[in-house]
Amino acid sequence: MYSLVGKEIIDTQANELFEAVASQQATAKDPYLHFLEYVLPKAPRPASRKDFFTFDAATIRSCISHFLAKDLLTDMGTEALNTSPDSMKAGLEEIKKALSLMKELDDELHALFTKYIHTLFYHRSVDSGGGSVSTLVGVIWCCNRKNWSTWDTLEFLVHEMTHNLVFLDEYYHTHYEDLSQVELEENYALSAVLKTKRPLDKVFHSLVVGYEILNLRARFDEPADPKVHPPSAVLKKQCLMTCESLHELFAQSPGLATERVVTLTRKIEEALREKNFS
Amino acid sequence: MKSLKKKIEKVKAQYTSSVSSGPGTRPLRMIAHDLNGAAY
Repeated sequence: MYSLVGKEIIDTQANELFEAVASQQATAKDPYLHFLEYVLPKAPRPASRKDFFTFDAATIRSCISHFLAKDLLTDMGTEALNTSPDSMKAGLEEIKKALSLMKELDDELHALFTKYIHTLFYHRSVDSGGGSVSTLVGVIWCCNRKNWSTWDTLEFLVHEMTHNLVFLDEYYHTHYEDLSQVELEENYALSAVLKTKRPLDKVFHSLVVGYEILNLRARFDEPADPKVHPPSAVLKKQCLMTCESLHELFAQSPGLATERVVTLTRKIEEALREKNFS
Repeated sequence: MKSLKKKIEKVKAQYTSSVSSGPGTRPLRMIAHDLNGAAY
């Protein structure tokens, strides 16, 4: 969303969201945490915004339960593995290094990250590098790997921040008319990152994430051996295939996505065709 | 502001209300899969 709509619009929309629920009863003083407390009352939140790395076992358990919950839109599950405090510390040390690199490269991007991500935790998972979930907006599960470079970890953080910013954008514009229709396999489309047919929400998110990673690399670095996302030439091709698949889906099921999703998909496709990302 | 509140309520309801055909809420879970390499 950072490259797609820009920080100013992200902040303006967020401020309007916070303002819209300001009079609702909630205990959090911070406007963002107040908003989240109102829309996601069951989600754990930090007491303050001072430190966003958590090692607290109860908080981590509660967060993981949101990722493991069974639901109708999940086509791929995950599994948590035992994680020692030393592993958590080592994993988060790498996250800190990547955040320092982010600040060094783009202070505005770093400011956006620290504003909208309020909790990061490290926990081992079988085949997942981490994730975000719409019932825990502002939280990132980190399961970064030892063979990732600091740049790979930075891509992971931008990837997950993008999911969270898309969730916030959804509250502002709405993205899906009826989730019971999004669940149907006949309404799946091709994902830009995993290259498989997945529910629309995952596919749209994957497209925005792919676009943000391409822009990040175009501005700073094309990694020689990327571990988290494919090389840019491949990623660009996959994103364009996803745009095509989404356009087909929008034509086939016109009431599925809102105008916001259709417009952003078109905007990404135009930018992909105009810019040289590889 | 009124229409924004309506949108917020719609999305809130989409993710927190129970549904008749399934186990409950519909979290849009986003997880990066199929990654090689040892964890910490």
